[in-house]
Amino acid sequence: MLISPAVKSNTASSFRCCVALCLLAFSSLGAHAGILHVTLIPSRDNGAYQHVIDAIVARIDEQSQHTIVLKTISLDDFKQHSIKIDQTSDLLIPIGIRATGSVIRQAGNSPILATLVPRSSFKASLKKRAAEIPSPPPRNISAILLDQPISRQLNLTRLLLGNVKRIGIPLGPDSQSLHHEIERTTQQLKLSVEIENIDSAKNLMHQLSRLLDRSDVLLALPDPTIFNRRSVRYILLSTYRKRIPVIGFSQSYVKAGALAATYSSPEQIGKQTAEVIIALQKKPARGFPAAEQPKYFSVVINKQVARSFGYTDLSAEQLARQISQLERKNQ
Amino acid sequence: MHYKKLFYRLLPALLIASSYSTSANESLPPQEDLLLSEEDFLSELPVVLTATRLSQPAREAPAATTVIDRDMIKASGAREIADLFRLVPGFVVSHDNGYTPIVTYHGLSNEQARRMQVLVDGRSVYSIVFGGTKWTDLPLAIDDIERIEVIRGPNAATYGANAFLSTINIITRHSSETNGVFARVNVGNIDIRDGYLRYGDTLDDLSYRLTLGYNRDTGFADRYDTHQVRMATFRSDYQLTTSDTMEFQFGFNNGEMGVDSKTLNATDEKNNKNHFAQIRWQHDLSTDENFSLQFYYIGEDTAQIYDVYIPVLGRVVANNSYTANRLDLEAQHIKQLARNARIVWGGGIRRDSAVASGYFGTKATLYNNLYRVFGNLEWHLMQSLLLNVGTMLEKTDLSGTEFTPRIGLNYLFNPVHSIRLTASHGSRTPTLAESKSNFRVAVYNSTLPTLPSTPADFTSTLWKGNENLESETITSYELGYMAFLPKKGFTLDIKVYREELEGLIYMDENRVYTSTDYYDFRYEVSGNFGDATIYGTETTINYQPLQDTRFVLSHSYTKLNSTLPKLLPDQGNQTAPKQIFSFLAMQKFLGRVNGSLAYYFVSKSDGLGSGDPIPAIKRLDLRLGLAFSGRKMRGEIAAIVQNVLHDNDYIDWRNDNQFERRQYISLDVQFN
Repeated sequence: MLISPAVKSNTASSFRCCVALCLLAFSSLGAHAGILHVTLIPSRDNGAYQHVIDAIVARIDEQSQHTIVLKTISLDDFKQHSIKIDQTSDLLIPIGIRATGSVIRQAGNSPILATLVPRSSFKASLKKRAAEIPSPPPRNISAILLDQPISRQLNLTRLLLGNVKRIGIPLGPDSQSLHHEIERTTQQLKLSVEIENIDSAKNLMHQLSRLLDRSDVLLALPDPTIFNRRSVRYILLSTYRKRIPVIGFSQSYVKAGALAATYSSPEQIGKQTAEVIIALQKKPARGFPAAEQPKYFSVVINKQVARSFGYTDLSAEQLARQISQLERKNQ
Repeated sequence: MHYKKLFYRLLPALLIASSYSTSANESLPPQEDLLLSEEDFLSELPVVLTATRLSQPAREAPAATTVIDRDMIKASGAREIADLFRLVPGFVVSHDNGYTPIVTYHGLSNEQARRMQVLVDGRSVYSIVFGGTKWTDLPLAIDDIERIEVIRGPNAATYGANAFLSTINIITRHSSETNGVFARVNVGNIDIRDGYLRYGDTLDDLSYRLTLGYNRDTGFADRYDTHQVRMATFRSDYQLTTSDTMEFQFGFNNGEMGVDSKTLNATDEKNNKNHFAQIRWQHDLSTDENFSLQFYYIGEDTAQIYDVYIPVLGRVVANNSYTANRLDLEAQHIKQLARNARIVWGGGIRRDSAVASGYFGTKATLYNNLYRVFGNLEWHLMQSLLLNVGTMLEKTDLSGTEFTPRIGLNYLFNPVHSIRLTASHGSRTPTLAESKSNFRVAVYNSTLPTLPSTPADFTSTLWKGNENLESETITSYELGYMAFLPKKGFTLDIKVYREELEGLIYMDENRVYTSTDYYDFRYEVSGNFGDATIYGTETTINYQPLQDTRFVLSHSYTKLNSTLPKLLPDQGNQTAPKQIFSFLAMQKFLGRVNGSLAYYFVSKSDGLGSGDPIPAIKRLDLRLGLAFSGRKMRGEIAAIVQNVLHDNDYIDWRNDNQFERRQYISLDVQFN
C-alpha cells in the first residue's frame, strides 16, 4: 500500500533506499531507549511458529513494563512492505528458515535476530546474501539456533550408554563443519567416536553400513542429506537389526524409533528468544549477542525402544537434569 | 551345471526387479530443497520401529538366551560355524569326523545331535532323514552371519517340536549391509584352504548380495575325512512399499568327503549336495499389527555306496545314499493388543519327503507331514512384571499330536536386576530314520563257513526303525537371574534348571534275532528306551570394562541321571560333562591390532553312538589380527592357532579323532 510499484519491481533500488532509510534507524537499539519495537515474522502461520510467538509474548508480558512492543506480520506482508517494516522496527525476528532467508535478503539495517533456525541453514542464508547482494549486510544479525550443542548430545549418549561404546557419527555436507568440534568434545569427554563422511544421498546406504560396522551407538546430527523422511526407515531398521541404538536430534526421530534425543521445543526456543529481546532492551550497551544454541531443552525417550534394548525406568526429566548439571559444571 | 542354469534363469528376474525399483522411485517426490529446515526437526515422521517390530529384550524373555555377535565370531577364530557354540554354556562341540561337527547340549546325544532345533533366518535346517544339523553342509558363509541367538531350554511354544533342549537361531546379515566386494582367504596346516567372495549392492529399495565359497581341509590325522565344499548363496531384500518387504534367498553347495568305516574297515568318498530357496513377505497392517508369510524349500542329496570285500563274509554292498526335501509354509501375525500386551500367533504346514533305498529298504518316497498352530502372549501385568504364555499344537504323521505349552514370569526389580521363572513342555518327534528305516546290506558270494546253508547272496538288516515310536518329551523348570549394567558394559545371566525327559529314542540298543533270517546279523531297532533327569546351573558374563577390552565367560554345571541302559559295554551314562567352561578375551591395541584368546574346558564324559569315553579337554585358541585400511578398502590379516597348548592333543568324540594343533592365516578385504 505504502510501497511504490518501483520498489516492488526493482530490488536494487529498493535496497539502496532501504540502506538510506535504515542508516537513520541504525542505532535504533540505543536511540529509542525506552521502547523497543519488535517485529515477529513467522515462516508460516501454523503450529510451531505460533508456539514460538506465544512463548515470546508470554515471557515479555511477564516483564509487563510496556517497553517492548511486539508486532507479528506474515512473511508475505514482510516481503511486500519490507522497507516500511524495516523503518518502523528496532528488531526483526524472523521465525524459521524461510522467513530468515527473506528477511536477511530484504531487510535494511534493522538488527535481525532469527529464531527457530538450524545452524547450517542460517549460515547458508548469510552466505547466500553475501553472494547475491554486493552491499554489506546489516551489522547486527544473530540467531537462536535449533541445533543442540554437540556436548549435550554426547552427554546424553554417555549417560545412557556409558563411556565404553563407540559412537558412530555420520556427517554430511551440512554437518561437515562440526568435525572439529566433535573431535574436541569427544576428547574432553573421553569418548571414542567413529566419523564417516557421507558425500551424497546416493552413497548413504553404503557409507552408513560401513559406519555401523564399527559403531555401538549412532548419533544423529541434523543433516538433510542423511536424516530425512526417505532415509529414516532404512536407518532405523538397519541400526535396530544390528542392535545399535540411535540418539536422535528431534522428538519426531525418537517417535519414529530412535532411543532418545535432546531437543528444544518451539516454546523453549520462544522463551530464550524473549530473554534475548529483553536483554537487548534493558542493556543495549552489551551489544548484539552472538548466535546462541538452545538454552532450554528436554530429553525424550522412546520407552518401547528403550525396553527392547533392556532399559527400564529411564526418566527423561532426570536425564535432562543430569545433563544440565554437567553443563553447569563445565561452564 | 543344473544350478548354473537356474542362476541364469533367475538373473533376468532380478534385473526386472531392480529396474522396477528405480521406476518405483521416480514416483516418490524429489527432495525439495536440501537446506535444512526447522521442519526437519519438528515435522512428524512415520513410526519405523513399531511395537510389532521390536523384539523382546533378554530381560523379558521367558528363556535363557545367549547371543553370539560378530565381534565374538571374529575373535573366536572359528572357521566353522559349529565351533562358535563352544562359547555357549552347556554346549559341547566335538567331531564325528573332520567335517561332521557334533553340537550337543546336556549330553544324551550320539553323533546326530537331534534334540536341538537350528534355524537359519527362520528356516529349519534340522536334517530331514536323521535329524540333527549337518553343519558343514549348510550353504552359509560364516562372514554372512549377523548374530546367533541360542535359546537354552525347550522352546516348542515358539519353534515347535524339536526345539527340545535348545534352539539355535542364526540370523544372516541384511543384504543392504553387505555392500561392495568382500573376500576372505584362509590357508593353514591340515591343508586348510578356504576362500570366500561376496558382492553386494543397494539400489534404493532393493538390495542383494551373492556369496561364493570354498572350504577344504584334510580333517584328523589317521582318518580318511578330507572334505571340500563349494557353495553359493544369494539374498535379496526388497522394500515393496512402506508397509511391505520381501526377502528372497537361495543357496546351494556341493562337496566331496572322505568316509571311512570302522566296522567295514573300508574307505570311500561321498558326495553331498544341499540347496534351499526361501521367500518371506512381511506386511505392516498398522503400527500395531504385522503379518508375515514365509515359504521355503530345502533339499539334501548324499551319494555314497560302500562296495567292499570283507574276508570270510564276502562282498558287502551298503547304500548310504539318500535324497530328501522339505517344503514349509508358515504364516505369522503379531498384534499389539494393548499398551501392555502383545500376541504372536500363526500356523504352518510342512512336508518332508525322502528317498533312501539303502536306509529304508524301499525305493518308494517316504513322507512326513506336519501341521501346526502356535501362539504366545506377552502381557505386562505391571510395569515390572511380565507374563509370557504360549503354546504349540502340532501334528505329524510319524507321532500324532503334541501340545507343548510354556509359561514364564519375569520380574524386573529395577533397571539392573531381574529374575525369571519358566516352566515349559516340549517334544521331539521321531525322525524318518528312527521311524521307518530298514537298513539292509547286501552280501554277495558269501563264504560264511559257520552257516553252510547260507546262500551265496543274501541281504541282512543292520538296523530298523519303529513306526510305533512316541515323541520324546521334556518338562523343564527354570529360575533365572540377570544383572544388566549397560553403562558398565556388564551383563550376567545365571540359570538354575531341572529337566525331565521321557521316552528317549535310541536305536543303538535292543539287538534282535529273527529266527526266519537265521543267517541275519543281529540288528537294532529304535525304541523309546529311557528317561533322564538333568539339573544344573549355567552362567554367562559379558563384560566390556574398557573401550578396547571385552570378556565373555561361560560356565555350566550339569548333573545327568539317566535310566538308559548302557548302550555298549564300554560306554557309560555320563554323556553330559559335569563342568564346561569357556572364556573369550578380546583386546584391541594401538587401534589396529586385534588380539583374542579363547580358553575352553570340558570335563570328562561318556559317548553315545560312535562316541567314546573322553577324558577332560583343555583347549586354548589364540588369534592376532592386524587391521589395515586404504581409501576405499579395509581389511585384516590374522594368524589363528587352535589348541595352542603344548602336548595337549585331545580326543574329539572318538578315540581315533586326535585334535592336534591347527593354525591358519586369514586375510580379509572389504572394498566399498
